[in-house]
Amino acid sequence: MSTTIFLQALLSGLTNGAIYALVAVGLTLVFGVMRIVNFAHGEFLMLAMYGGYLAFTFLGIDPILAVFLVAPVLMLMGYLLFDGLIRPALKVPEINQMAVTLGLSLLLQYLALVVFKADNLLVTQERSTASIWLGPVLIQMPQAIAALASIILLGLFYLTLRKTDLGLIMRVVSQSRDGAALSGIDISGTYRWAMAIGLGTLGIAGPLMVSALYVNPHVGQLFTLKAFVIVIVGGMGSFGGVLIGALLVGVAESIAASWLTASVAAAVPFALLILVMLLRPEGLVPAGGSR
Amino acid sequence: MLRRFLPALVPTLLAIAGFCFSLSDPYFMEIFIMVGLIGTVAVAWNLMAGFTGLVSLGHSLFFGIGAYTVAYGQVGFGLGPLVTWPIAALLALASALFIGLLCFRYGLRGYFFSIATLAFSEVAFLLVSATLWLGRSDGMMLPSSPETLRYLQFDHKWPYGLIIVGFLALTLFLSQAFLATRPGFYWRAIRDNEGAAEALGVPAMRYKLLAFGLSAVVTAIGGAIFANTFAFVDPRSTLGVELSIQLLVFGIIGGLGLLWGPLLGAALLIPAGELLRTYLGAGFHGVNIVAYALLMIVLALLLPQGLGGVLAARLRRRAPKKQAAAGKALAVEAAP
Repeated sequence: MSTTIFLQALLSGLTNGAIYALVAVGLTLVFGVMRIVNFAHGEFLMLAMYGGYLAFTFLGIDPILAVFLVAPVLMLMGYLLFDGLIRPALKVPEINQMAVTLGLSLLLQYLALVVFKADNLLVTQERSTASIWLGPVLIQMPQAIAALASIILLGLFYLTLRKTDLGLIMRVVSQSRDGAALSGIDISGTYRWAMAIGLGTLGIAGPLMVSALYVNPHVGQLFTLKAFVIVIVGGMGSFGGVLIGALLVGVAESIAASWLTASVAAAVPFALLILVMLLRPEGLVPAGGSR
Repeated sequence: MLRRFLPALVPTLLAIAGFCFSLSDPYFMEIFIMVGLIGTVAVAWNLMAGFTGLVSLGHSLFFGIGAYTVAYGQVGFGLGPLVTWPIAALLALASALFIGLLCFRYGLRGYFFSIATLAFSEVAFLLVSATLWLGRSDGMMLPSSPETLRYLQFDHKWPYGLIIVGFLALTLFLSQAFLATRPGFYWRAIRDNEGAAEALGVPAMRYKLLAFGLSAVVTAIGGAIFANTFAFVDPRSTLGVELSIQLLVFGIIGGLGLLWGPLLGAALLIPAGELLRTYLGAGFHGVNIVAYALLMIVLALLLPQGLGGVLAARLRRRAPKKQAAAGKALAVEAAP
């Protein structure tokens, strides 16, 4: 009996972890390339979730198909965000950069509150209640779809980073900005693309998540914090680290949730961060090698 | 001597004036209390952020330690502020040193220091929200008692306003005096270039811990005063991220380079937020935060020195106007 509970917790932890990885990977990309931490990252996820919800409710578009609508919108937002806020923010001290993205996070949260009110919204379809049995444990259909999609996307993301010119350029810029500029690489252009892709991944994650998880104006904050934890645990900037960090956080959280109260379980990712800071300050997968 | 303490004296006199004005109406007094309390905590936060270059996003942890020590001390043991305030300060000091040691030893800097402090305060928030004897997320009410002075319980709000004026003045004067000492200069050296400061023999770790500890102690006293003033504590208002972010907002808007900058930010934004809320009504909950956020973004980008910085520059320019004019003429002559 206890083994079943454990396996169940492990499985749902891994599915959650896969989704977290997709959310955190965009944050790492933006930080790795531009050395700026976007505190509003989760708020864009929240917008993408609302996007998926609205597309389903008003246009009757299935969340899986809504991805093709929401992701380009989020990419465009990233593009505009770079020119509107991030480019000027690169010129001011770090604490002001922090204030800019924190301000953006508050702005989006409370604008969403004004527009959408504080209600919890969810896309419910026929398949929402369906589930798949894997031996003794089961997995909810929406979670399964989101996790599968995020695994495929993470693969695509990795290939882009490794095999394409754009990926090469982004890796170059993240290693040495000046060196890249001297080699004739368009730094602003690269930043713009990093921002667009970083938010674009959220445009894919959002609509898929909204059929598994309630969306409200404050849902993003939670994900921003978790993504930070994942990025630091994973060694601040490496792709492999994000994957491991995300799975670890997902599993730790869901195992804790099956034994402890919800509120204590929610503290587990942060406790994990503190543990890693104590024991392995370079992160689980040190950046540099696998960048 | 007087000149040196001007940055502490002028805000204190203004605070006393504000206090006297607020005596006319309990609603004003409530606003004054929030401005004085959160403003002073923001000044303490800025000793770290603006003067040592350590941006904490987890200061609500220390505020919460202060508030919950007072609340639990009274509910659980019947202790008054005379005992609970020093305990609160010690607890905050200990946790700041622990967190600081952990972060600095591993070289967490910039963003990562901020995020780590945020993580610590979030752990505290979640744990307190789950702890039965601390009232969970419902919070704790401080029982009323006839012993007015022993438990600092007054029928009116104004005595608390008076305590806060003292808290504010003490913090400003002590900080101003401290910034003129050797450790105060070390802080700024570390802020400007930690590597260079260390190369010149400044034990950066020790002075960063000092900044963290002092800032935490003042913040905890602020939290303790909060608990006594409102006779109620809950995780959202004393341990939540919102409080920590508020300190950053006040700092950015008032000016991080000045001791009184964050106080100015609080004095402008808290009443403005109240006004917005009163005039727009409850239906527009959150509009004041939208305005906060917009203001913060615009000022952080366009006016990195904050409103206080602009004000200070204007004041400084007015004093030696002749010299400045002469200097300008010289510069123009030299230019071509």
